[in-house]
Amino acid sequence: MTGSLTYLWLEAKRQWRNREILIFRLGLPTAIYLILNATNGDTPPSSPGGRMVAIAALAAVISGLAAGPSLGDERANGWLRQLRTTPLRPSAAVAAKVVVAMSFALPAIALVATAAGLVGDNQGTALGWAESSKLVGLMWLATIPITAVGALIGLTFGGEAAHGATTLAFVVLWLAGGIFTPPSQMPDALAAISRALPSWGVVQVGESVAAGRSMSASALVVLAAWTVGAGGLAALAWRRVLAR
Amino acid sequence: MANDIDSSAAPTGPAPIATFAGVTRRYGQVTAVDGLSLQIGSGETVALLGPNGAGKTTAVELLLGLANPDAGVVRLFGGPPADAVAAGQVGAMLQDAGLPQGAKVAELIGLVHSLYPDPLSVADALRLADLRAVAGRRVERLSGGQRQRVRLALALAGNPELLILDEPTAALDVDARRSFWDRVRVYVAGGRTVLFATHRLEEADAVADRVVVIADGHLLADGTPDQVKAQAAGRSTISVAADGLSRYVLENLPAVETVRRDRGRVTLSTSNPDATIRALLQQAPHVQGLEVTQAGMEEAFRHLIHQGGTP
Repeated sequence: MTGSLTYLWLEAKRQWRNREILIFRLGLPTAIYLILNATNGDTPPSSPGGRMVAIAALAAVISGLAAGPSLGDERANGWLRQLRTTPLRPSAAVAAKVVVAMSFALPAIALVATAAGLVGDNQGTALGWAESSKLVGLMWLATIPITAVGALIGLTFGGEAAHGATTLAFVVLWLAGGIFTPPSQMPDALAAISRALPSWGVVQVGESVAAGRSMSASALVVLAAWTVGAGGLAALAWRRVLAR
Repeated sequence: MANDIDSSAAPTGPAPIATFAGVTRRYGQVTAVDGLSLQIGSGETVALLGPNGAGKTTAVELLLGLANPDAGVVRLFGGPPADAVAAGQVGAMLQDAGLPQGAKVAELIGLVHSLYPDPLSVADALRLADLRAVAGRRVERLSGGQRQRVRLALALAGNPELLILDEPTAALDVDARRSFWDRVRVYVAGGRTVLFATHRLEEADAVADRVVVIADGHLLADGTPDQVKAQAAGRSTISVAADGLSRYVLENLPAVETVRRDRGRVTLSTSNPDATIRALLQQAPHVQGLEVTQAGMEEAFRHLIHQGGTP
């Protein structure tokens, strides 16, 4: 157990001291939010705090999927095999990727919410400190199924293919997953797909807090289904990796 | 009941650390390891010698539980390899295994230190692998030789009973290679068991006290370096000016195995140079430019593979 924690700590330090990772996962979503807020201030809101929630969901997707290429690289370069010659429980290597991905998702979401609080989201929300914390915390928990998708990608594809699959997943979740356009503005067929994607669930969780609504049951079902489905498939892929 | 226990066969010697019993492993059409049987005892330094593609890496992976045999049984410390790995009895340096970017040398060694039951201190592992000067450096800023020594340090920092090294010096220059093996020798002086895969005969000769030769997944020879060399001992090449020598005469000299003509010279390989030269001088007393060369290690090794490789 202490070995697993040591590995988790090493993995966290390794990623947190990487400047490119910090810029991409933490800086980029906040920058996108500030730019959109400054340029599209007059656009009528689709829902209160909608822009903040959408970009916070984008931050969740970027950080959540990051486990994919990271695992893929380490499978390709042999580091994961090297670890498997040590007493470290093999699954600890995968668990560390997921936990560290989550460790980026929390501040990434919080930074967007903080930026919205500071500049004043001009879609008409002014959340109090407690509501903001609740929004950040619940959107962060809703990121779990996205990290499961990241792990599934990293364990299914090695090396370059994992990067490609992650980019594809990112584009799908961003464009079709309720972040770029809400499903209500999509054609029916696309809207149905959109409402089945985990990023839509993350957006729903955020919007319900921002609007002071209760959580939509269908969003929770989608998030739970993706956690179980992607997590289960990732576990199967991991067994296949081990049984080489 | 007591009789049953008494009559159970007692082991005759110390139990082997590693056992391959009729092990076969295929990848698609390729049989990487083919019916390999082998035992490695405590305290041995064993070289697994063979050309590229011989099955060395597959044998190492089978021994570490990274691959499973299609037939036969692999045992490590008397049980399945995965159990020995989980118990921290093995340290391994895999061929070309990468290091995670952004990690510092001392952090990686600290990780291994935390994983094994009876590890070396981080300071000792750094000293053994000559890494003290770069302990705080990130792995992507290391030279090739330094990276290789980090990987050695990862293999031995856990102070394992068995050290497994797969082509550990493949990427190193001559000096780095010598210093690498000096480090390994210091470690094994404490009576540890070492298995290393290599395609360099001189490396097997210099470091191991037992050499196991494999090619095409088959075991070809197994013995001390001297015994393995003796299987090809006395082999030489004889080279003379080609003028007026008929191929027929040359091919029928005693002990000659091959005849090669090149730029006005003929080169014979022979398993008994004395007999060949005597007969050659008898039949062609005016032969000029006679040169005799003792077969090098590489040649002896090729001969072994040639004998065993083609049925």
